[in-house]
Amino acid sequence: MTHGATVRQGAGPGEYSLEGTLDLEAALRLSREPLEGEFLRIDLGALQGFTGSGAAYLLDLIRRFGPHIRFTRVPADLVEYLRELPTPELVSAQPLDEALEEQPFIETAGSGWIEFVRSARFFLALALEFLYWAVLAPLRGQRLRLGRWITEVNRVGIDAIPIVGLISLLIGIILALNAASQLVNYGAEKFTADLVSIALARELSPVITAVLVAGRSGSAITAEIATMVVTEEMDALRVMGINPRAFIVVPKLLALTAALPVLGVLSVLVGIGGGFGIAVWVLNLPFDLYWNATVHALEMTDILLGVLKSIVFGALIGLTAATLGLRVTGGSSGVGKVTTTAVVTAFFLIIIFNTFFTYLFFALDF
Amino acid sequence: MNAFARPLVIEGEGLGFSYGNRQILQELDVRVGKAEILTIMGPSGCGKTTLLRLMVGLARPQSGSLKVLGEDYSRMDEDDMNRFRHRLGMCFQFGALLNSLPIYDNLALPLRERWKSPPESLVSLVVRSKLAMVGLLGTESLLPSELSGGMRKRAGLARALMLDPELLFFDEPTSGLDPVTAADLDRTVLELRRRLQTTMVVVTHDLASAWRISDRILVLLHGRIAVQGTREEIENCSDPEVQAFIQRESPARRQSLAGGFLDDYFEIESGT
Repeated sequence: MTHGATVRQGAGPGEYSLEGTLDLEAALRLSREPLEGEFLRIDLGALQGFTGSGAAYLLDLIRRFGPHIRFTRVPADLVEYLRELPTPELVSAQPLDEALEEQPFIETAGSGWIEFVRSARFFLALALEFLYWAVLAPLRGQRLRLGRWITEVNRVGIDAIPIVGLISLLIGIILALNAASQLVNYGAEKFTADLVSIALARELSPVITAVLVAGRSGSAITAEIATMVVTEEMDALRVMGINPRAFIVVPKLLALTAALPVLGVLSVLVGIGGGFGIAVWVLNLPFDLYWNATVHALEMTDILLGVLKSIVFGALIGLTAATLGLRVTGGSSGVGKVTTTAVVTAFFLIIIFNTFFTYLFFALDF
Repeated sequence: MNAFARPLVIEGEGLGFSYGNRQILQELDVRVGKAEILTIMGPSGCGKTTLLRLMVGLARPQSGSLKVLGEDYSRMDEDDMNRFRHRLGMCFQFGALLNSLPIYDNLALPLRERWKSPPESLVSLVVRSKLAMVGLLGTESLLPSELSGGMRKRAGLARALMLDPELLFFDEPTSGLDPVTAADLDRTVLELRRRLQTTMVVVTHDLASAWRISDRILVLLHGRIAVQGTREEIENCSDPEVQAFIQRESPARRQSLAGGFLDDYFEIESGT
């Protein structure tokens, strides 16, 4: 079979005949706009075959030339094929590139801000609702879904222990090495213990743990919730008279706010252990000295401030994931988009809130 | 027969709904009588799914009034709504089963939520009886992802039946099903109505299915009701857009329509 039809000029003006196979290649070669006052008569008697796209090309010519075109000696099988299609609509439909209007810049930028404000409002409403479910509902005797909560704690907390432990150990090592190499200049290397333990408890452990959990579970929660929205599972819950936020979102939020402080404290302990190892085995600081310095430096307040941060970070991660997941639009590509946005937003919020807390504790002299 | 001789289950008047500045439904009146099967048809984007979402209460009308089973949605808050919804059932286009739960727990969910820890022996009995109704007995321990699309849809129907709803909604029940399974599902629908007097509202593209099950068909075009009535009334409707829609959905008629159009441009080769 040859590709593409050959066009032959007929006897009169505007008379053509096609030979060979009418396929997409031929159609692309033949495609053109009508000239002023032109009338086309196209003889298809010599066609040896056609493809679907080639046949569609005839409809494109009808669209362009309107009543100024006529096909003669059309093979019966080609007509048979076209009769199966809703030809009047295909011809009258606008080409897609004309039908799609470009959105003006202002509108795009404006709608971005409107969406941001709406999301922020949704976030705050969700936070209030979460407070209700976490604090008031149990007091009013409404049941918390313990089974679902335990499943979620396993997923966001227990399963995260290895990675949180490993990263914290390494952070402890890095901290101790850097601190010691600077402090030794002042003969103050025994303060390595103070620096490592306080930095971990107050700043690094809560932040590192939160960033790890946001990357690990925040993304997973967003994707899960968004997929449930896209597949109408959330609507199905609502139709069954089940509040999807109470049923799906609240156990996840409660799990995050419970798991994060525990992971944070674990991270402090492992990190201090890492620093300890380096101090004793690499920097050759006496064991007793380092131990006493750590115990002396670390106060209960440091641990509690870290725990407080972790609880807030857990809520931030969960609320961000839920807000973006529940507000997803645009099917499966939308799920991917909100998942990325959720992780980036959570990182951003963690750092912002951490700065705020650190400044607050500094100002209050905690 | 006048469907409104029966007590009304759904009364919507002057319903309007828009997304942004796109008007989806305008000034729409819809009424459904007890034990009636109403089918809503129309081309994509005509507003039929939106109308369904309004009737289920997943969206609120921006204008007009809507009463379902005698209750006015606009006077209900989310809690009232959740309690009220136990009287409704809905079958979603793709089943909308919870993917993390096996079929058994998916079906048991509405029962457990409604009655707070009902005895498990009762739950399993009801779950199995509903599964039997849709021909899915034996799939209890499977996850939704282990079922075919058609089976998921039927499991969705079984779940919608768990609380014996007075009013059942279907979103494209036969789409993606082979003709035999689709006809089976239609039989189940008719059976439900015969035995339990369930009122049903069906949104569909499938003309064959609509002719089979409906007492009354409502054709929506551009957010308005173009025509409503029995099969004969729809087929005899003079509105060209309605005719075009029906013909597009039935292949036999489509040919003659396209034929007339092509004759203006094509001279068929003679002698073949």
